[in-house]
Amino acid sequence: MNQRYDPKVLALICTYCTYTAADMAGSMRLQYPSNVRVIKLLCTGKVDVLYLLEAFRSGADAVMVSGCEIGDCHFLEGNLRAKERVAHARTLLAEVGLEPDRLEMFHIGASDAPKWAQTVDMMTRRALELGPNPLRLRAGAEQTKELEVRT
Amino acid sequence: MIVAERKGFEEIAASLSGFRKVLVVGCGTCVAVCLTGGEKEAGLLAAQLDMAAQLAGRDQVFEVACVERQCDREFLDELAARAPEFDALLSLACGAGIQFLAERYDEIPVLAGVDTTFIGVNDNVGVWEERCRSCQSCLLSTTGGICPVALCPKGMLNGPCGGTADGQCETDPERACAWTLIYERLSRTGRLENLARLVPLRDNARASLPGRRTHPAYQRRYSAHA
Amino acid sequence: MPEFSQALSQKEFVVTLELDPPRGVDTTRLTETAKALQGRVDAVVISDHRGATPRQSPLWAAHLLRESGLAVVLTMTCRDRNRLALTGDILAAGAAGLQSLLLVSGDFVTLGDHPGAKPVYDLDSVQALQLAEVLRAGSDLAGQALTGAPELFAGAVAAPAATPLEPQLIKFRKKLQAGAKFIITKPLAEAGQLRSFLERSGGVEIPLIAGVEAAGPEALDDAARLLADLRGSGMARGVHLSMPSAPERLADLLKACGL
Repeated sequence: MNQRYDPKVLALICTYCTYTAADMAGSMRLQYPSNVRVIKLLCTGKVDVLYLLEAFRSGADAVMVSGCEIGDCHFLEGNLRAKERVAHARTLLAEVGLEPDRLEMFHIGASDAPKWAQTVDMMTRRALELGPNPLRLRAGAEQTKELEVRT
Repeated sequence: MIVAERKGFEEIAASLSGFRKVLVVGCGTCVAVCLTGGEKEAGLLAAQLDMAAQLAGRDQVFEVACVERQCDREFLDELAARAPEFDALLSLACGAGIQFLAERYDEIPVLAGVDTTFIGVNDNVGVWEERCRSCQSCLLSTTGGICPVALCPKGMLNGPCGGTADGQCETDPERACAWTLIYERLSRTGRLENLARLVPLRDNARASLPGRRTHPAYQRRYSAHA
Repeated sequence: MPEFSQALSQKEFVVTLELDPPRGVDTTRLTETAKALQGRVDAVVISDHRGATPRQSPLWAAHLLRESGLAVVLTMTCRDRNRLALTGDILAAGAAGLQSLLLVSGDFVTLGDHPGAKPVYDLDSVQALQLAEVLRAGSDLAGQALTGAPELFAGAVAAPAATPLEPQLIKFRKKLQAGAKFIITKPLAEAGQLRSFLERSGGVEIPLIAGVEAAGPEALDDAARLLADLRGSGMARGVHLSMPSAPERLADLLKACGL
């Protein structure tokens, strides 16, 4: 039963900035952990607190939301809204008894491929330090499979 | 509208202990607008409760429903098929809605997920402020559209108490003195004579008892001779 | 028995002092203080749950002081009594011979140490004065005749230091209209506050006593100076002294004021 813990890190990122940075990181052959699963959004303003809770219920060990740099949002303030929602979701996680640090908001500009690689690396290490999401352990393999399908 | 705030998570979770299958029932009117008990908030709370139950190893199931208004029978009827499947209903409506839900499904324990706070206005995005105490004897015509009953902690009718300092209330230096606001608006609009008369004692008789009101057009329908 | 109203009609300048009832049943200190005050002040104003903190009912403390031979002014707030309780306490005061009342709205409950208490404010201070007038005339608010009407000398508070002043003046005029027999002001910072209040008030026909509060034992000289200013100015018919932060040092305050 002693399975190796391979963290699942979910990244909800905006298409204009952070996704471009991630794309560029690939072109630049930057190395970063393959633990990250990316969901591309038109804007992080689309991120709902419900999505964030759902990610943890579905077994994610860490969730990162990453939008444009402050002031650079293509929809003016979508990233600012995401920032507030992530902060709120962190308090909801704390109420439930899940470490709020499993969730974090970032701002990564389109040209900042190295920052993308570093951030994914950082969140993966954080997920390792915090250990597996206890909800995933409880739900067992069934839900983990579901997560794989969803991502 | 009626403004409410979610109860503390611990309190809600504790009130649900012993119930295995719980339906979190949102209300799509006032509490949805004040981001406390609408469909989304019901979903969030159910997700949280589910996570907490799993973490604690409790065998509980949480589902979500939302009706347009819990203070209206026709909307509560929508739950008729579903409600009996649950061991408890957790209502996120105001106190009125919670009671009406409990009355409609009186075999099922109905629990309160929010504290109803006041009748108020949307002062800014995410900010609400009390404006009315539903005292049943509105003074706003004479007080410049500013209510001394709701906005003056002492409910003074004849003018400010002596605690006003720089137009702020003695109870809180961040709170404007309602009587200063009343004075300023009446002064600006040339209606200061409104404040000259001695205001008679308030008639609390109606407001002291549970209210019930029948619209004049319906009075015949509900009268004994109908 | 000396009465505050007598002192006002006999003396050009009166001095009153504020005392709090004890926070317990032991009234030894209160009666000792009363003894020490004989002949030094013209009346003692008994506070009513000052600062919204619980104490003995001021009715009992006022009764004790009156029995010991002092003129007493009984404070009554609207904070803790609805119209029934106010009526009852005013009648009880009248029955005990306590004529002089100071009718106030009262410090708000959240400022005290029982912030969860329910505030009443069924009447405001203007309406409380009206109630006193109705009772004095021999009936209650429902128009029922009283078996014996109380003799009352009801006063009110004014707040010349409050800002803005204009709404205060509106309320003040209503208090005069409602039948206040005397005025005690809230503590003043300097005599000029009373001057501008009086200039804008349109005339005060009834005795006005100026509030002088010593911030603490270190500020006795300031209080004495303000008292002398007020006495010299001729604006007030007297002063009302208080030192809520250190009631045990009131004797020093009187000494500093030459009383």
